[in-house]
Amino acid sequence: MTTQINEINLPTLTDVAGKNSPNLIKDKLSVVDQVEVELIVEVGSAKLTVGELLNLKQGSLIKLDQLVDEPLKLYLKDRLLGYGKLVAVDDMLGFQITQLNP
Amino acid sequence: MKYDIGFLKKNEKNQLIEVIYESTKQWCEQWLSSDDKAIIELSEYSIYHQTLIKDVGLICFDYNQKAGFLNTNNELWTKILFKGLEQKIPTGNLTSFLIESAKKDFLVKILENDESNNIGHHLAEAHDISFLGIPIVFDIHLGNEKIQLLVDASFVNTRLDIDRANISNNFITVDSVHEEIADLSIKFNLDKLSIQDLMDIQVGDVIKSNHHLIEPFNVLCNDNKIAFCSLGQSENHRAILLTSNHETKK
Repeated sequence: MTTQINEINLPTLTDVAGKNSPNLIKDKLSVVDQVEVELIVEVGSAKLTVGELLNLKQGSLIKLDQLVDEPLKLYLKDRLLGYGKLVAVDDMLGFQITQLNP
Repeated sequence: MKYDIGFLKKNEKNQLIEVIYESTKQWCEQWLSSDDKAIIELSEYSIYHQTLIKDVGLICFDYNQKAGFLNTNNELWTKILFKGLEQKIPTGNLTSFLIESAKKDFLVKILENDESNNIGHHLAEAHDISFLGIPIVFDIHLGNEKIQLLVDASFVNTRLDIDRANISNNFITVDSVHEEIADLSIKFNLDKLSIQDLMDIQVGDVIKSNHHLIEPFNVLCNDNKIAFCSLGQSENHRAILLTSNHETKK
């Protein structure tokens, strides 16, 4: 018995969906609901010169640009979603939302 | 032994001149009232210098012969140190003491920049120097006067190695970017949410994280983790205390 091996040529495809074509996914949200996102809290930030950065030592104190009472920023990747504050959830850190960006 | 400076690349020569220039500048600021800037030139060590060392000697520390001045009479140093006052300066022990101190201080700055080495060591006149590396000659022009400094290439290599550790491959020194601004930020991730949960979020909601209350925070520099810190406040601002660098923690 011999095995025949042939080359495969992919056919050229054309988008045939029109304005009136029916939607394939009826419940869009149920699909994207499977996607998980990770929110990031920025506790604070500071601007340092490279010289200052290179001179940092263990035990160095850096005063951040934000005031103690200033709300923390909540990001979805680089997009600022809103603001909030740090809270303790049992012995873990949590974030309580105080303002959401429209 | 090949007595030339051809073994140094252009950048190394420039860097070497810079090292000597900085030492000279510091010395000038402390010892000279003149605003004349030093001009440093590298020249090739030759049989001429070898003869000069034999004839007039090299003035160097008794504990370190890696750098020294070609011996000159005190007249040259008097002209440099007491410019315009040469005729009024008494040629006594005090003047000699000042000149000797100035020479010692100059060598300390060139050798290690360690003032403590000045204490307890004396200048010595050497006529038979065994250089470990290739000797290099620096002509240090101060106004109309010229001091000739000889250094051993082994000293040069040590100084350059130190400097190389702080520079990138293209020899742009870190000093040149010292004033550039870097952004530091302290961030932590919250627990992952589904899109549905995200869209249901309202003001007042609390989102948990996997971050323990006593766990240190990451310090990021342009999104690269560089250190760990604890969070607190200082002078009504949020503040961080650096606890360790990132490599150590890993």
